[in-house]
Amino acid sequence: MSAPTLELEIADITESAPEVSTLTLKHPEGRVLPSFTPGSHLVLECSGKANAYSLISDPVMPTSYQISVLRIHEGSGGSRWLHERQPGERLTARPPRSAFAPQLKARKQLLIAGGIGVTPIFSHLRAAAAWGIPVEVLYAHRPGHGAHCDELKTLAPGRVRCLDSRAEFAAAFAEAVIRQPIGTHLYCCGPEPFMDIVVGTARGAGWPPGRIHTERFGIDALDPGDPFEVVLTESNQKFTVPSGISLLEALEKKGFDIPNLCRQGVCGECVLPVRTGAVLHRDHFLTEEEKESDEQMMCCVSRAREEELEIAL
Amino acid sequence: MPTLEQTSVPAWAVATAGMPLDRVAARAALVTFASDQEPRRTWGQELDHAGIPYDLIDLSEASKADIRQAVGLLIDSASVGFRLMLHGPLAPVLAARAAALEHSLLDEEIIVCTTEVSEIPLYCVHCTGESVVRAAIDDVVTCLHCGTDLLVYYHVSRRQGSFLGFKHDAEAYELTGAGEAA
Ligand code: FES
Repeated sequence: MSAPTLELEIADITESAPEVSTLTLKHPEGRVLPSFTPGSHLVLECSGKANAYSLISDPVMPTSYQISVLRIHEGSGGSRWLHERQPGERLTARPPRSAFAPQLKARKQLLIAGGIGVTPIFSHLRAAAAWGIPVEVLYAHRPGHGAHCDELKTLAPGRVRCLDSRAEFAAAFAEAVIRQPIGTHLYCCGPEPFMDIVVGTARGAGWPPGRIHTERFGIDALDPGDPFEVVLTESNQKFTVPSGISLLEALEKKGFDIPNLCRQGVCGECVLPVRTGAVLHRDHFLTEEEKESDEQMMCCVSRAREEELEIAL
Repeated sequence: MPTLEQTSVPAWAVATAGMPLDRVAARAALVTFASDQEPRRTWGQELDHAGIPYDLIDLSEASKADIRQAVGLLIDSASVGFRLMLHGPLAPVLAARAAALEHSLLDEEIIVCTTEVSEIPLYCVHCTGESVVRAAIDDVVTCLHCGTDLLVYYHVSRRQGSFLGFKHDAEAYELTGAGEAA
């Protein structure tokens, strides 16, 4: 199920913060690019791998896409590779995908960013400012490492706080979370432990899950998960996928050649048809309805919810 | 008729039922439309026990318009973490829920306990009037405003806070007309 791809040319590269490069990407012939929903991401092919990056630019009839990339030293190399690119070079991308869309009925948006998780929050803030939706932004970052702080503050003067200490952020968030008018929705993106704290604090303050939206990708590895049994119905095999090993890796070890690209649940290449069993979907590719139907799974990240999965392979 | 889960009719609208308290709530308003002490005893005790501060609001005498207005005001001054708890007969409960949804409350933030469901609010698609009538789904009752015989359909409007009613024999009437002409 290869999605159509887009050829994009790097028009500009700037440094938004130490180790954070902002890339401006254009159509090689200067054409208008596909519009996208605020909070969408672009999957970029980075020397044989694929990574997802949130789009921070204007979503409507864009003539360019902008992404901000944090150089991750211990990562799979995709971000390092992007940091070595030069203007004029070309990249291959999948068209924007939305997995973190704003609630149009929100009366107010409380936007919470941690580190490079500021990118989709930037996009939400841009949309809220354009539509006149009241916002409040709390952005936690390391001292001297805040990316896009000035742009955020220009979009919502007086409504953005960039906080460079954990204690300051915790105090600001604890105070903000209990005084949001009914109708507010909370959007959060950042490292996994940061989001856990934000979600936990909000739930503790009585926020129902329906008001809390998180974007969880790219920044951290997923937890290793429990072992589970796999039955391959076509090739008549049965084996165990141990904790810490993905189904994709387990299949590769058995000699299967499964198409894959990102290996982090964003590109959709590694889809497998599921016969029976409940899937623990951990990808960002399938829609909520597709996940609920349990008819397919992304084997690079998703696992079994119960003991066994039957795959038509 | 499809099963209830496949329709917009909440289970508590066809049989009296109470939803459990949400113990993570930061604050609640307990709105009662029944003039008895029941909510104070049950939910009130539970809220006290869970340490959730709440206001008890008695709207047992209020009209539908007053209910909608009061609930709207209550919600507009609330912060996220708030739960609206509705206790009483179906018609005012549905009216209050409609106002709550209009004022951006989520279903998760509305906790309902119905004490009486034999009288239902019924919206007439022909005259747009609402009648509160003793009826159940599939019954045919007369609209108190325009006199049309209405079939009580298995749909509860979240926006109107009432069951949908339409002329039960509209098609039959057309057929008779056609037959006579032939
Ligand atoms: S390889 Fe990209 S979704 Fe699995």
